[in-house]
Amino acid sequence: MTSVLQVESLTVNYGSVRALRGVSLEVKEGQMATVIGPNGAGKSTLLWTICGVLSPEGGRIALRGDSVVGLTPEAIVGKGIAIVPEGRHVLPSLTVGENLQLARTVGRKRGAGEDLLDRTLQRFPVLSDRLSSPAGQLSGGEAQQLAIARALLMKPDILLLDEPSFGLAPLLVEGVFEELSSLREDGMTILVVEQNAGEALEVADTAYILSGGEVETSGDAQQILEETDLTTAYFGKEGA
Amino acid sequence: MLQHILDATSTGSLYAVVALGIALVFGVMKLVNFAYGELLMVGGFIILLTEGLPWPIVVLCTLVGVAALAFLMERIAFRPVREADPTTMLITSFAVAILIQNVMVWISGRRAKGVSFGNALAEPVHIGSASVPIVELVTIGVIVAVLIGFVFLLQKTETGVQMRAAAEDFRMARLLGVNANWVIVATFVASGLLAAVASLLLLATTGAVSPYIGLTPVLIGFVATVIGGMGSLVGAAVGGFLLGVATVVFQVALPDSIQSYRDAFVYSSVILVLLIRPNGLFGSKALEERV
Repeated sequence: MTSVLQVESLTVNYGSVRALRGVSLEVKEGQMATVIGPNGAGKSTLLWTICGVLSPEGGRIALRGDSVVGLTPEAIVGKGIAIVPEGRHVLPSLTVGENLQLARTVGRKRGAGEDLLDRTLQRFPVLSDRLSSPAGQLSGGEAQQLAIARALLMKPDILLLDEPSFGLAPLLVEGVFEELSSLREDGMTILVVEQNAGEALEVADTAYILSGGEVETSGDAQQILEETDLTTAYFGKEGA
Repeated sequence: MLQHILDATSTGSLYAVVALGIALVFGVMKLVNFAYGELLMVGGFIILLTEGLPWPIVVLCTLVGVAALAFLMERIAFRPVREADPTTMLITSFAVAILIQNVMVWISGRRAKGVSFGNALAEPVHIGSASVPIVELVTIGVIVAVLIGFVFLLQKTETGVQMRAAAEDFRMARLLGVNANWVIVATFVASGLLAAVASLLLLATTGAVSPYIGLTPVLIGFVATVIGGMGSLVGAAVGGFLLGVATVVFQVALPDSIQSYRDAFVYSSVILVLLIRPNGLFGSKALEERV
């Protein structure tokens, strides 16, 4: 199975704080990897660095073997990395249709056909009825669907999601993870960062537990779910 | 009464255009470009230089010249400090403003020069009992057309949607593939075109240009964007319009003995608005960190 995303010995400073220390991970074609860990572990920093929003101090990030370090965020998106950021970041005064239109421009450059929009709207039918509504009027769950739809329309090689369950009601959280499973079954390569470790490990193939900016444990997601004491992994040996 | 309404509408719409030009750049760059007034001033000198040529050529030269200066301003002065602290960009904008102003003082001297462009528009027309200078009607007409053009640009074109996206959430816009360089250049050029329009209308009304004519409009535009809500384009236009209307209303309503304090009344109203709505009338989340 070919590697889509490879991160090797990534070191990132966030202000004066060393947020990531030699983080390495790999996401293979058609697989879902998850990075879990407590607040402040460096999970979001990892995704922002992969997307080019933050610059690493050292290490390598490669998409299908080509380094993306030093490229602008828009260039990285154009190469096939799409992100659903924490808090969705839909553009509230733009309509749902305009939010999607921005993403479609990237998708078209990456060879997406006109049918990609139809397929995406079939996946998220609630968006079809709201195309001319301002995105700021969507509920949290609908905004999450828009953020994911937008990322899919960019026809990415890999989809990054930062805390997709953040701020959603429990029933909606379940829906988000079902959606991720369904995307994975359709062949999408996914890297999801989550605090909600149990749900993330259940749907992922591989997992990395990040703590204090370092990968503490990695391996098969099911095995980690069954064998790792997540409380210890999150809060240290003494508990919290 | 009609005369006062037209006065207020004409001043308000001119302020709206100035404010929109400042708000456009602020939305995308989080930069209050104090050099915007100098774009307007250089526009005035282009009008002076091209005086005597047919008016469409004067208009074209002003639009092209000011837009080109805005483009150069972005490339030479602001792009190198784009990733820097917002304070650095603010100081850069002061530096650019002072530099351009001093170059113009060096070239043309400090004194104001008369401009005959717009003389033909000084004649009054009689509407009922009101006597209104044609220039006011032209100002209102031109600005309505410009605003319609801008709404079209922002709503219906791909670049316009990208500009709105960048103004709302610059980082997310880039993560949706919006090219930062392109959208910032487009924003500066659009802001330059608005400055050129403001320049043409201002000189048609005042008939004079000096290296210092940019200062008052840039302050008015800045205050208007604050009233409207920093980062909201609609807010800036409305804020500018209301500020213009308030200026004319106080001019008319205040007794002669205190009329020289008109601006104190106008800006007291501004403070009142901000006390009630600290984020402005259309406050937005544009003050978020720019990455």
